[in-house]
Amino acid sequence: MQAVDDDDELGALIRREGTRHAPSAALADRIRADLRGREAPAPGAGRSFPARWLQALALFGAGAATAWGLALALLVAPVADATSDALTDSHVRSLMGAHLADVASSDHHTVKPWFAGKLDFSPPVIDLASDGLPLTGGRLDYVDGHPVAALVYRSGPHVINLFVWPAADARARAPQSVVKRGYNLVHWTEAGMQAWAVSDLNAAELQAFAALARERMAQGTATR
Amino acid sequence: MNDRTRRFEAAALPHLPAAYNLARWLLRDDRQAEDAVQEAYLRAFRFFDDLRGDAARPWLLGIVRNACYDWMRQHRHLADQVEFDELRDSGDAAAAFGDPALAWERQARGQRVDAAIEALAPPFREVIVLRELEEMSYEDIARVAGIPIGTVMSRLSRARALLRTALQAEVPHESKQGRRDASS
Repeated sequence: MQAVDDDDELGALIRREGTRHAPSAALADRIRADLRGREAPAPGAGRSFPARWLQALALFGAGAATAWGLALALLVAPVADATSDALTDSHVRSLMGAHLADVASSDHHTVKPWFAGKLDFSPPVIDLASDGLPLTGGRLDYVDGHPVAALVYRSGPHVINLFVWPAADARARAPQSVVKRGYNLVHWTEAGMQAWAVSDLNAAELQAFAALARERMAQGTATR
Repeated sequence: MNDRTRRFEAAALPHLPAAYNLARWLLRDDRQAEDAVQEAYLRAFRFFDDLRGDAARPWLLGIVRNACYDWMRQHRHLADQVEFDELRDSGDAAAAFGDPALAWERQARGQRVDAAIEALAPPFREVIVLRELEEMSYEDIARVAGIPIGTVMSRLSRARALLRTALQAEVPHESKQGRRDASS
């Protein structure tokens, strides 16, 4: 009963019977490896903090960019995708039967008034005949919940359908190319109108067409 | 390997057994103790420049101790998470802490001293471990635990009283006799 009454005896008992837990050899190795991993940015303890922050910031930035890209791919792309699909369908349909044009004329003074009263907007009908891209007509179409104007141009044996309808905002957007089922599509926004050119023309020539058409659309508003 | 790393290893690695023992007693789990010690060494390495001429051992063990308390706060040590109360926690330690069945099992394996220490609240446990197992001075213990020397002494005597009660209550008669013979 008296064995542990004394502090020294209790101490002796603890040292004799208590466990002094020993670290595994692996722990020292882990710590050494860890230290070598950290030594590079360590010359001053203060220095490592901005570096750490920068690293965290970069990591956050990368994460945000990924999230943004993903959101764009998931939310925005399907919309554009659905539109380009519908336009490709419309282009293909226009070539199948005799429904390429509701109004067949190479004169834009004939084609433009034809749309009046059929659409709630006045599509820019651009004359590109002098550039080797004659207008052959126009028709009405319905894409993505909008009535749209389809202008038909020719480039040699190739048909170009240029779909035009009012843009959601006035911001101009540079042409972007898409390929759908072997057809080339170029999309841009100019003068409050969004335009989609669809053709089996090669991408470079269709882009040249788009650049010309876009330029004329911009001029059209300037002179109007 | 640069010079700073070399100096740190020379100063800190010799105290690894003490660091691990403290962490293992505070966390009561091998893997958690290893992780906490590893983290503490990294912290110590970062603040190595703060150590100017002071003894490395209490400095390092202080960091290990803090890492262990952080660990307890973050992890599942619910019993230890309750704010330490010097008076309340001085009660019947064996009854208040630890699984009685486990304590009994340990006791049966002749580990009743370990069981009694484990049953102490962390603030009592750490002073016992530092004083009796690491044989540190009151001054160094005060530095490790971040408390005044007077508190170290009062906690130590409390902890000893608790251990005495726990050991006397549970130790069978003949083994007590044997121990007296061995220690006198």
